[in-house]
Amino acid sequence: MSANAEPTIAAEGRGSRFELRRWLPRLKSLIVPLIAAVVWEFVARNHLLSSSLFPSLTGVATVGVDWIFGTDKSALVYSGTWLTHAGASAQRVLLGFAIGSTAGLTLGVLTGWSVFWRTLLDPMVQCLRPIPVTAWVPLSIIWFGIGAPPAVGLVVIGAFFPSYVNTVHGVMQVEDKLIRAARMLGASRRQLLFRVVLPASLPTITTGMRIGLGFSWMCVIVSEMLAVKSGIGYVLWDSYYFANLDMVVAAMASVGFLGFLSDKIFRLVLLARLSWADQGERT
Amino acid sequence: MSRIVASHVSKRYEGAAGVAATRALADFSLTVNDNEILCVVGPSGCGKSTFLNLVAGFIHPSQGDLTVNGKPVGGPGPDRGVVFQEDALFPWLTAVENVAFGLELRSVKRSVARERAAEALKLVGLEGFEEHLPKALSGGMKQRVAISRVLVNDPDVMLLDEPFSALDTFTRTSLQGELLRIWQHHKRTFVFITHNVEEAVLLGNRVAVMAKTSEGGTLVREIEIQLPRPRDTTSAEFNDYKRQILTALNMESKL
Repeated sequence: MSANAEPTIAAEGRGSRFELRRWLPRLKSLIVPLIAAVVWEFVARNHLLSSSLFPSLTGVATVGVDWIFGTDKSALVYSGTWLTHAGASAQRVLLGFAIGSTAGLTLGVLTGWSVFWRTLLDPMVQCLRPIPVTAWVPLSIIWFGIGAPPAVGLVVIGAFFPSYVNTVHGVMQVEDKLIRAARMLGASRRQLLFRVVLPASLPTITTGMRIGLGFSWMCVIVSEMLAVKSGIGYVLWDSYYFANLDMVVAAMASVGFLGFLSDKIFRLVLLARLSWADQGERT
Repeated sequence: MSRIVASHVSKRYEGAAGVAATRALADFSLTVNDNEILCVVGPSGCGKSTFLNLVAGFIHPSQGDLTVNGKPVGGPGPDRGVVFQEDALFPWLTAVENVAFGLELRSVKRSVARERAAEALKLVGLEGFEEHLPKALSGGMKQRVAISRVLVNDPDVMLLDEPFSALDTFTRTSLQGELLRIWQHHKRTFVFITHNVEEAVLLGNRVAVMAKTSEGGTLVREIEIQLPRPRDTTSAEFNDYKRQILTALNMESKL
């Protein structure tokens, strides 16, 4: 239980000794990535694999830096455009995720809470759910044309299902004793839903939304590769056409970073509200 | 005055297709008087929790009549507060928010509700724990919160379903004392379900002994406990009552 151990360390620790004790265990987690980076660079530098197949780490880093800051034009036409493309992708993810997860949440609550809505909605949703999101690409291009709308549309679909499925599950598995307790205290059906069922299923709902957020990044990249002329996915695919592998890898890293960042932000926003469900982490 | 009247109540739980229905209560008649503590004691499966759930309004009789304050029981409501066996606090609410929950449902102003909830917590000795989440409270403390969550609504009837059965002996003894103190200061009707004979004799003005039969649970005996309070659990009279109940339960120790 590191959470319990920390205050004591903070209390007795002073200056560098305290810093070192705190950071040393974390440094351990850098060992494997560091080795991987060294091996990567070694293989590329010594041409153990053809450079047309295998870009070097420093090459990717140089291109990446130019892509972001516009330093040496090594990213060619993309020099200094990172923020624009990242912003375009992030905007689509944000919009699509907001729509998709809200829809999933709303329909999920209806389905989980009322037999009437479950009978009405769930069969349809379960029919559509097995269709992989990528299979929607052609239809979304035909419906929405080329540009941002098909990307947002695809993200909506990607974010919807995990949010829906987890919300249904969360709402249906609310413990009977909590429902009885609330009814005994005089809760109406509406109060039961908003004051007991929703808060009780929030941890499960959040999990679904986090999965949906991950799906959203996948969807935005796929659709930008095929149907949009901006965004990280577009840069990735365009660079592939011009065999600019450094740029391809830099774009991959960018998506990874953005996905990681958005998940982190999402958790930060929600975690404070969910501390009651935190049973303490296994160590 | 009689507060709760059950007359010829039966309760069957219909099974799935092809499965026989479970008979929980059979022709059960019992009257609970105003302001008394009625303890219901019996082995598991004798229908004692079914009786409590019927009075609470969570379930409804298959046959017979059940009235509280002269009116047939409809659904659950704050006039019949329930303290559950297991921890049934809302885990996302602090102790004081749990207690204020019922008041806020009835649109009592939040600040007023919190104030009254804090008082109710004080009554069960939890001053200073208002802002604790349930997960930060011990089992005994959680049941104290559960008791004050019900008390704050000023119910006519308090239904307690083996509320102390999961607690250790020391915590249990202290909570039994607490409960009696509350009952003496805020007289009302208590129905206390237990499988602990000693607990039944200690708390009850009367003890209803139930048994399981092939027809379902039935009432075997009603015993009035004519011991002054505070009661000495080691006295001969106390043991006489215990023996009477054990005899009725057909489980005298003959080892």
